[in-house]
Amino acid sequence: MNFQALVDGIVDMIRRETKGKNALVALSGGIDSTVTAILSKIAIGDKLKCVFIDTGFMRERDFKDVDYVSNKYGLDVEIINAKDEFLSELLGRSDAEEKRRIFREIFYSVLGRKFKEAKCKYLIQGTIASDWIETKGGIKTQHNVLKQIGIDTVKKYGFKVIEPLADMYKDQVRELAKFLGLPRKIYDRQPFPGPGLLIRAVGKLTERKLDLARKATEIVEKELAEMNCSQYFAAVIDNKWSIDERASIELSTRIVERLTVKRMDTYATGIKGDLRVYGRIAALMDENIEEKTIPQLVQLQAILISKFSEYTRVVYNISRGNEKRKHAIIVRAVVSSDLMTANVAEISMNRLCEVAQKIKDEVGDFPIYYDVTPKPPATIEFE
Amino acid sequence: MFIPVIDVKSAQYSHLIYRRLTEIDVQSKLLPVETTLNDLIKMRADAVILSGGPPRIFESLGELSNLIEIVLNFESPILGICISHQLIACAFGGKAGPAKTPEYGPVVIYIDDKNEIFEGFNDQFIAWASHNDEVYTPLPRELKILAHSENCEVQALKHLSRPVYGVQFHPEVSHTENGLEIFRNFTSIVKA
Repeated sequence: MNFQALVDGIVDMIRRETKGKNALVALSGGIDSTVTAILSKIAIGDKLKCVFIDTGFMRERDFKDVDYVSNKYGLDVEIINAKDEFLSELLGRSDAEEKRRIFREIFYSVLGRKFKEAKCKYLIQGTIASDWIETKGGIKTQHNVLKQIGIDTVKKYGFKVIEPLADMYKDQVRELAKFLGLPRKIYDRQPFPGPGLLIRAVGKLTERKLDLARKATEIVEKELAEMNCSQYFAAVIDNKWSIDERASIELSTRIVERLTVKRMDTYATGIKGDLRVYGRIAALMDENIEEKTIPQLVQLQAILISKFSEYTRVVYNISRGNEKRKHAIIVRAVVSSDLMTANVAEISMNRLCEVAQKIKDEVGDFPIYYDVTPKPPATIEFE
Repeated sequence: MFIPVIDVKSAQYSHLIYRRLTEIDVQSKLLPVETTLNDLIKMRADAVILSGGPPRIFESLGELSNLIEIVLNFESPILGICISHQLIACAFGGKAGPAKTPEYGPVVIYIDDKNEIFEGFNDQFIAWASHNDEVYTPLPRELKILAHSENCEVQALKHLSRPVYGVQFHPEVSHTENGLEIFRNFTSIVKA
């Protein structure tokens, strides 16, 4: 790719679209919005303002990264605290898509108010190809996709949306970030969803679940940092289940040893044949953990999901935990360049058990599972 | 060379097909599912790629009749992926419907006939699939199986006398081994 021509083209486009007026970029600390802000700064200089909306679902490092970028590139960033607004609307909500849609509505209402106050009419945002493709295809609602699904942003929120990266995938944005001279900690940064920890607190949202998702994600991010995964985090589900006898028998005959399949009550998002599926989670309980490898488990996953169509996810028990606990923790780690397909990261059982032990020590003795589902049939996030 | 991609109803990977073509310096464009044979002729397409997509084949043959007309009457090379592979089989009188064992994610593809579309490939390779439906056998007389997998008999097919190809898996996704080579081979067929 000719990056200089690409940069010139984007800079021209931003100048043309904003017509010499002020524009706003909503930063998240992630690579897409950072690259968008830097290109916008080149294009319109002081006419650019940035905002960072504190949704209450962000991690500490998101604040740090926004701070770093704003200092390094001389961006004028205002932090808007909207935590209470998000939390009060979202506590108690269970459905993954409902959470995402409510999140989007609040996010853009908050932004809309800022636009009115700043008398600004242009929002430049870092939406990339995988965002609008998934949203248009009905797989899941990425919060930063509006016009592609027919939302008239001028009418509804009072601003026009400009998306300079809409034709690019994550790996291409990373290359562009390198070309722009961004440091490794930005261009190599793992993706973090717009609605953040909200979606990793799977099922009914409670403050307790959110807190567990935050703590467990922090540990997984630290423990797996050197494993070359593209995305690695933790999610929290309700620890309610029943035994799936048919699936247990099917798997046990396939591999000639006793495996128990728990059918979790919580639903999770998946994608089968380009269709969204909100299905069940199958949790595998195994006595012989140390003898298993990830490719074997991915194969078991394929058998289970193609035979029992209600499932979209298969997770594998890496720490038994106390079954009386109300929550269970899922560790997910995948390898993907463009986020359109993803492989389960091949981490040794030893290492996974060490990560589980860390979570047990620092967060609590919950049942802990490793997600062994590729995308498709799962999505990259766990929600 | 200009090879447009017809996007079958907001497919997940149609824009990736477009990306792969631009990566091998082929001019391309995403076209809506309503595109007709006449549209392709008018825009002087050198070939066409029909994407995968969310519709189920057995419910959609009626509404995708414009694509069937393209498959039957467009004289330049055609590559159909996933549902469009199934549509090619149906266009020539074959059958497609729910798969006995649907495949999602990695599958091993075994090449049965090392045809021009698989030029340079090993006898087996890993490709990624995402399908609920599949092509049933036997195929109509003018079509031929090129590859299979453990759970799917027709992973690739071609027409015996015309440059029409179908693949059930997704050569456009980054996890498919040497997927880009399928597009290179297809453009060589277009040039020939």
